[in-house]
Amino acid sequence: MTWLHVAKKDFHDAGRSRLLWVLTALLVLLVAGVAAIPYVLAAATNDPTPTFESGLTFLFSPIGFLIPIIGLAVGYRSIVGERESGSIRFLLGLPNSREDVLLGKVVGRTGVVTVPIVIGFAVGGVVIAALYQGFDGLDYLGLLLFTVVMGLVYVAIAVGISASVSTRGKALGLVITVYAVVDWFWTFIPMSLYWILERSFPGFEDLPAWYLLLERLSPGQALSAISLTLIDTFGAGDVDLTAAGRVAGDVPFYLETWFAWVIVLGWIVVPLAVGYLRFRSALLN
Amino acid sequence: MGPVELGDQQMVAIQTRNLSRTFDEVVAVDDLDLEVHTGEVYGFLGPNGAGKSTTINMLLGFVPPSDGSGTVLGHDIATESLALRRRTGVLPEDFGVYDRLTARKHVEFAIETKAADDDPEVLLERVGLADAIDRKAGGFSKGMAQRLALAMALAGDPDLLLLDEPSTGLDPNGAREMRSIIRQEVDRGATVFFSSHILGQVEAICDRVGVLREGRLVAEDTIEGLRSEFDSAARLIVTIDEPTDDIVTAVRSTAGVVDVRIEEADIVVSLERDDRKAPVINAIEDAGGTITDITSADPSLEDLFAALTTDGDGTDLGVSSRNRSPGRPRATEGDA
Repeated sequence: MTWLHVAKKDFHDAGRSRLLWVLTALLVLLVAGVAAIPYVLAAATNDPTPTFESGLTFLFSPIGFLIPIIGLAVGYRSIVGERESGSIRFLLGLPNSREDVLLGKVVGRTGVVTVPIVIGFAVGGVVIAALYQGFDGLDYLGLLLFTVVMGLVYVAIAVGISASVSTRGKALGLVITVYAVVDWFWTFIPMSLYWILERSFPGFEDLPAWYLLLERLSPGQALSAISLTLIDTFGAGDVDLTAAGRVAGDVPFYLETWFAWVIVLGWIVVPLAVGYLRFRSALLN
Repeated sequence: MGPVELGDQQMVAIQTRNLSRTFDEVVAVDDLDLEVHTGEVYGFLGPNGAGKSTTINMLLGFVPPSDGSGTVLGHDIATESLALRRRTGVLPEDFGVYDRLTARKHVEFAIETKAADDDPEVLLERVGLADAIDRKAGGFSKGMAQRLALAMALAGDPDLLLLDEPSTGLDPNGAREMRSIIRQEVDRGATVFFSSHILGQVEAICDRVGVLREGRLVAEDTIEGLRSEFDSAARLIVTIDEPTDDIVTAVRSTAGVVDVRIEEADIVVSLERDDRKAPVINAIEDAGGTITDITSADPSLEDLFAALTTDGDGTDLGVSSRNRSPGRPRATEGDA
């Protein structure tokens, strides 16, 4: 198994790109900057200093917006770029299997995403600890871990796509399509079905289990569900965001949080499996 | 798993059986039977587009064969690709470097992947990149990239070096250094298989050559073998006003004549030796032929290569050299 060498090489290579530094700057700005907004707003209106929880919650949605884009951007050229440049002939002329290449790329690119996340969170942590009451290290680490998992999911999707196609243009087109479907249009799927069946629009509560399952099958929703387990704060609000509070009747197993981990895992494994099957039979000439 | 042993005890480094590859109905490699012996330098020759790279791509598992099979160092190319690449050093064709990585990082990657313990600096010094070790490969010239790729191929003392057009981008000095490294590797015990579209590059170093043309092996021999075969087939092309069967019969019965053919107004005569030309001319005149022109074809190995890889059926050694001055090297680069 030489995937570790591939990952290391890939991390060094991609890590020397300007992309990594742009990402780092972006994440430092994001974590430190966005987290400061509730504090600044509170100070401007002479409200009492907001709690750590509100800073963290405020941070959550820009992360959910930015990390998928970063993960996809970092991953989509990983394999097809080497096919176009011809460096894949080194990779596969050396004793690396195509599995090694795929696995090494996912690990290497996840590393590329993780470094700016960690730096961003380290700098942001100082800012947040200074501005807010009751800094909770464990919760903060939970959010960091969650962000890395989210990065991994989108890197895996992008690497799977990158392994599946023969040109960078196709990879870019597919990545954009998948992003639009998965992160933007997905909610319309259960909603449309609900409308067809019920002739009304779904509310927030008392929903059929199938509706919540369909909703949760998107990586974004599945990740939101697991964030509740990683960050205690998020589960402590008045409104029960979990399926338990929204489903009509008993909570089926597939709406329990552990199953959200299965879905998240699926979003890592399935794109890579599809990519592998296509890459395995790809002609490199 | 060691190399396959043949009946004659000769060890085989590369062996293919009916190896074929078709791309969208275009035949790139056609029924190829190759046999490269352990410890030899094998020159794989042919014009661009003859199927050399496709063959190498099949040996390395970049492209699966449409038909046929092969082994490299005893490992099946279809099922044991990883095992054969562990023992093979590859200098690929049309490769691209990692622009942002230094020469050292490239070689380190090769060494680590091969689980070898070479010193990257030693390898880079060997290929003449001592002063570029810590420079990013993105700024390398084609020749430097070629040297870098060779250093990567040398990592781990491979049993087989598979070099696809290794002289690409190298100046004459670089090509000479390349040959010297190939010799060192063979002395160490390695087998070297390399492709080229220029005969001059392989003549000085190959134990044997195989000539590929339109996906088929049209000749396979030692350089000496090819040369002697060619010397024995000296040609005389006599243009006469009206070739007749009587003239052909007369020429055929002349001592030293191997073969006679009529091509329009020409009588093409294959001779055992150069000094058999005069009796042939006498025979033609005695049989009533009026000679208008005589061309003596006495071509070089370059012409042989050109003949094998261009017009004709690949066995017609003399004729294609007829309209050129003997021994003039023929450009083969545009023959793809």
